[in-house]
Amino acid sequence: MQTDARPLPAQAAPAVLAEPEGAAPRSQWSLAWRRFRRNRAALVSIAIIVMYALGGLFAPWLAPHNPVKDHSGRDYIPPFWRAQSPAGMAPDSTFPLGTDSQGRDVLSRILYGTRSSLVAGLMPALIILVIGSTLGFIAGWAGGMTDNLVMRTTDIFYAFPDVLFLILIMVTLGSTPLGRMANGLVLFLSALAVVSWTGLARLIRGSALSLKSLEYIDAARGLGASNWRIITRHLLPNSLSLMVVWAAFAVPRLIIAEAILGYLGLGLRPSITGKEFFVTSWGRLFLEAYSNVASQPDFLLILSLVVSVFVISFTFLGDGLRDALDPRAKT
Amino acid sequence: MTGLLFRRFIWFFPVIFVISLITFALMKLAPGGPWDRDAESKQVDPRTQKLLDQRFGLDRPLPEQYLRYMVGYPNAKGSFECGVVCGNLGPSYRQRGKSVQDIFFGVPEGDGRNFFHSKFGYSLRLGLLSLSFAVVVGIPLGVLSALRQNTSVDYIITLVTNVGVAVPSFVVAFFAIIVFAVGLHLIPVVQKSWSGITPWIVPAMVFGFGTLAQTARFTRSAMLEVMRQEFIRAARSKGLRERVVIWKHTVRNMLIPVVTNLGPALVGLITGSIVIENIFGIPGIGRDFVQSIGNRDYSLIMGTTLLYAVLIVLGNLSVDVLYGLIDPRVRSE
Repeated sequence: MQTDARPLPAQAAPAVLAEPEGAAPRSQWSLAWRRFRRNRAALVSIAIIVMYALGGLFAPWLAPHNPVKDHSGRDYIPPFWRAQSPAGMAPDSTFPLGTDSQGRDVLSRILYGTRSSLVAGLMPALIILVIGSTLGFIAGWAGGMTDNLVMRTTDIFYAFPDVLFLILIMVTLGSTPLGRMANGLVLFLSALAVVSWTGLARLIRGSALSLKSLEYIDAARGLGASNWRIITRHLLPNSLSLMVVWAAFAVPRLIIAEAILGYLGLGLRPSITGKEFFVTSWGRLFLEAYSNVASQPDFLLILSLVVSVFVISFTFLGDGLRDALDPRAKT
Repeated sequence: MTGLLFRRFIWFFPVIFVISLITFALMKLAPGGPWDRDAESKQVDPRTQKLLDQRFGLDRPLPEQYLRYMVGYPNAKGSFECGVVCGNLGPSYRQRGKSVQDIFFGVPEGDGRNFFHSKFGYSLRLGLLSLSFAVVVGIPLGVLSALRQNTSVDYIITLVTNVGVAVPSFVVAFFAIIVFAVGLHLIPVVQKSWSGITPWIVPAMVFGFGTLAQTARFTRSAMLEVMRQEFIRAARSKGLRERVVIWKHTVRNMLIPVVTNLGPALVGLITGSIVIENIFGIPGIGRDFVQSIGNRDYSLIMGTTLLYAVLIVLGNLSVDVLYGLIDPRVRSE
């Protein structure tokens, strides 16, 4: 921590001084929004993520073809910018990104894959936010034995090789009734939540511990506030920025976990009829694209680009959020 | 310092115990057994199955099975067969006549074969090569980035490392295969031989890229942190040459956190290589694990999980040990 007073940056100074006295006080969040708006990379990232979300949400209306329909005799069609695919097919304007080994439209499949991958990233993040922060608050606030118990549990999970654990759960429980629910989504979400809650719990516990010793918490307690009130009205809002930043970095990690399992053939079960919600996912598409890489390299290339742009956007968004929400944090 | 290390080391045992218990429970929860390929089609007739169960002790109550695996049991000859506590990971259920530790560490027959040709050896080689690449390129990039802070060099390095941290290694691997194997035909999509250094170059660079980016970022912020310290200002003001200030005073202090982090980084690279070994066809533990899970080779699954967990705990422990060795301030506390 630096203690020497540094002069304000030249550009920021007039804005600060220009604020009229007695103006309505700005909330932490509106100040953060003002800082966030100045970060162009983060704004572009938000726009890209919204595009992906819309693409996934409206996949049934945007997709030019049925994602599971085999167009027989029209397999390995290259994307529009290629004159010819390695399999000798010419591009076709009805399949802008080409077709896969079974003559299914690549664009439609990627749109549907985005839909499931987004769900596979966002839902476990929400579950973990609830479980992880609850345990973190309890540990940090209660201290003593409770704290010890929760923290030793996180130590154990910390030593568990997480991809291995995910694989283990998906393999051993994959053919049980739990594993068959909603194309395997229920099992997948629980497995991800079990593996990844520890990081957030430690973060929130640390935050609760440092907030606990602050004077305004003592004041609240002195005025007779209940534990529940202090946690929900004081600790939670003050830890919210930590949670938001955690989520921005966690979502791409969770999506990648799905992609890894899908690539190993252990993720969500693909729908054959196309009527279920989960038609395919990025992981599943990686598996299909990589097994046909020699005859259709463009499919793998497009898919890798789609996934890379998405995870990079989330990283820039996370950086932007961290800088905006915690201006003291060093980058 | 010694007390802290001792406490951390003692903690090792309950961690391994709980992890083995969870893994054991998961395997027993799973339907089907090691003698059938999948739940629907049993391939071994009931009598043989019973005999096999008896031979491997799978007909006994679950707590006893767990104890037999972890601690040991008296074998048919009347002597005591020691379990996991002695490093005996048990016989593989699928690969007859081989124990799990043989599968991991056994050196295949042939001239000039050594430890690095075992399954663990392949995973270790990939990890070591990736880590070397990450360190040799990552640290200088981080130092350069910090010395040229807020110039275009810094911005480019920051951008590249941001991308490197974000994009997962298996996507980088796909890009590498498209460019080097399919596009330029420099490497085959699947390598046939892993002798020599040439076949390892692309996998190690791909797998090390994420660690490289992290190391560079870490180095950069550690550099900037040290450069702001009083003793650097003191070194400059007493007239030391800039080169001495940077290499003797700044870099040496900056290296402490970077070096102490190498243990967990190597462990992360060994235990995280499941997908990379699969994509490039490297015959290490990770590729074998994926093949063995479908077979329900219980002892092999359990052995892999325990081996990785031990490595992770040791890797984390190495941070404390290295810190104590390198930084005298920690030792005196």
